[in-house]
Amino acid sequence: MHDFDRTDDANEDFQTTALVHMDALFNSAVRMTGNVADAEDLVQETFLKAFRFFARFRKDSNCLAWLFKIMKNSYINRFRQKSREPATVSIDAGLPGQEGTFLETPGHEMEPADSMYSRILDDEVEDAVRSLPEEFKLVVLLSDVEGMQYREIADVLGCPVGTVRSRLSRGRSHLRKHLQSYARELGYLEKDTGR
Amino acid sequence: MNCRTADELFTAYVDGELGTDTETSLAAHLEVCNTCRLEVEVEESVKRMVSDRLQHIPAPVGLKSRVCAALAEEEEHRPWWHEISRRVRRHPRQIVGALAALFLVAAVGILSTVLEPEPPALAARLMRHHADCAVQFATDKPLTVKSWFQSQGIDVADTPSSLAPFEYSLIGAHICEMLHQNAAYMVYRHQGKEVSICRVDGIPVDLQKLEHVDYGSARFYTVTYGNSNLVMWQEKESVFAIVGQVKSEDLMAMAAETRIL
Repeated sequence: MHDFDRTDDANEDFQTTALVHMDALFNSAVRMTGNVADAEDLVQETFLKAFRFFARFRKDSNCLAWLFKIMKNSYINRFRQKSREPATVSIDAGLPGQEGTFLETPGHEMEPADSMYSRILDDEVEDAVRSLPEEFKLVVLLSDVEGMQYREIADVLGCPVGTVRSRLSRGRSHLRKHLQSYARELGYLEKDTGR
Repeated sequence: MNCRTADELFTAYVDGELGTDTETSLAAHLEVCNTCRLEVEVEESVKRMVSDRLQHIPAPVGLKSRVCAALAEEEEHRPWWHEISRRVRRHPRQIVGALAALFLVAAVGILSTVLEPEPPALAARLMRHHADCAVQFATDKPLTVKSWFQSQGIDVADTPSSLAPFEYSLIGAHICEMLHQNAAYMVYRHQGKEVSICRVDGIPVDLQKLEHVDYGSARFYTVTYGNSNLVMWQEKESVFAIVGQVKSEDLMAMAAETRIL
C-alpha cells in the first residue's frame, strides 16, 4: 500500500482543495445514511470520484458544493446497487399534475459505531431531521447546518433556486409539526401558532 | 403587501435571501401584522433549533488515512499517460528519458489504434456513466418525465413511452451532473436490458472523429466499448446519444424511429 503522495503538486492541490472538506461531508453523510459505517463508505466513494474528475473541476468554483453534488449522486446510485428494484413512495414534493414517484432512500435507523456518536445523535431534533423525506433533508442540512446560500444549494442539487426555497420551506414545516412540543420545552417556541 | 403574498416570502426572509426592496416591504408588513410576525418567528426558531442542536460530527480519525490509502491505490491504477506527464512535471531533468518513454508508448499506442481502435475518451465516459447512473425519478409516463425535467430547470422535448421498433418501455429519468449539468437521461427497459437516451449538449465530443453510418436521411456516429454500444446524432444544434448493451444496428433503428428529442 502506497501513501498518498503529499509532495506531488496535483495531490497536494487535491488535499488542500478537496480533502479539507472531509468533516463537512461526513457530518451530512451520517444524517443521510443514518449510520457511521455507511457514512464513511459514502465519503470515501465521494473523494475517489472527485479525485478521478479533479482535472475537470474549475478551480475558481466552490469545491464543497461540487463535493456535495458528487456525494448526493453517489448516495442515490449506492442505494440503487443495493436494490435494483427499490420500493417507491408517493411524490410529496412534486409539481401539481406530476404522478411519478421518487425512489425511497434507505431507512433512518441509526446504528452508531460507538458511544460518542450515539450520544450526539440521540436527540429529538436529530431524529426529526433524519426522518425528513430525502428531498427536504439535504436542503435543510446544507442550509441550516452547513450555512450554504440558496445559489450554492441549487448548484448541489441541480435545481432552480426557487425549488431550494420551497423545499426548505416544506422541510421546516415538517420539522415544526414534529418538534412543536419539544421546541417549547427548550424555549425555542413560546406560543402555538395553530399551524 | 398582504398576508398571502407575505407568506411565500417567510423562508427566504429568515435566510436573508430576499432582495432589498422585497425585504423592506415585508418588514413593513410584519410591523403591522401580528399573525405574519409570529409565523416568521416560528420559522426562525426552527432554523435556529436545527443549527443549534445538530452538532458538527467530526469524521472518525481513521477515515482520512483510509481515504488517502484508497486515493493512493487509485493513483497506482491511473492510465500510463497520467503517470508519464506527472513524472515529466516532477523531474524536468529526466525529461529526455521520459520523452523516450513517451515516444515508445506513443508508438505502441498508434499500433494498438490500428489493431483495435479505442473510442474517444468522452464517449467511453458517457458509456461508463450509463452503467453507473441510477434512475432518480421512476415513472412510465412521458409527460411526467417532461415536467420532472422542467422542475429541474431542463427543457426536453416529448419523450416517447416506448422505443420502436423494439419493446423498450420507459422506466424513468435521470440527470447526470457528473457528466454535464444538463445531461438528461431517459431510461428504457426490455427483457432485463436497459437503454438510455441522453441529451448531451455541451459535451465536447468531436463527432467527426467517430465512425459514422448513414441511415436513411440521418447520419449516426457509433462507438463500441466493451459490451456497450453508443450511437450519437445531431439534431437542431443539439447532440443526442443512445447507449446500451445492445447491437449498434438496433440502437440506430431505435434512434431513427425516435428522433423526437
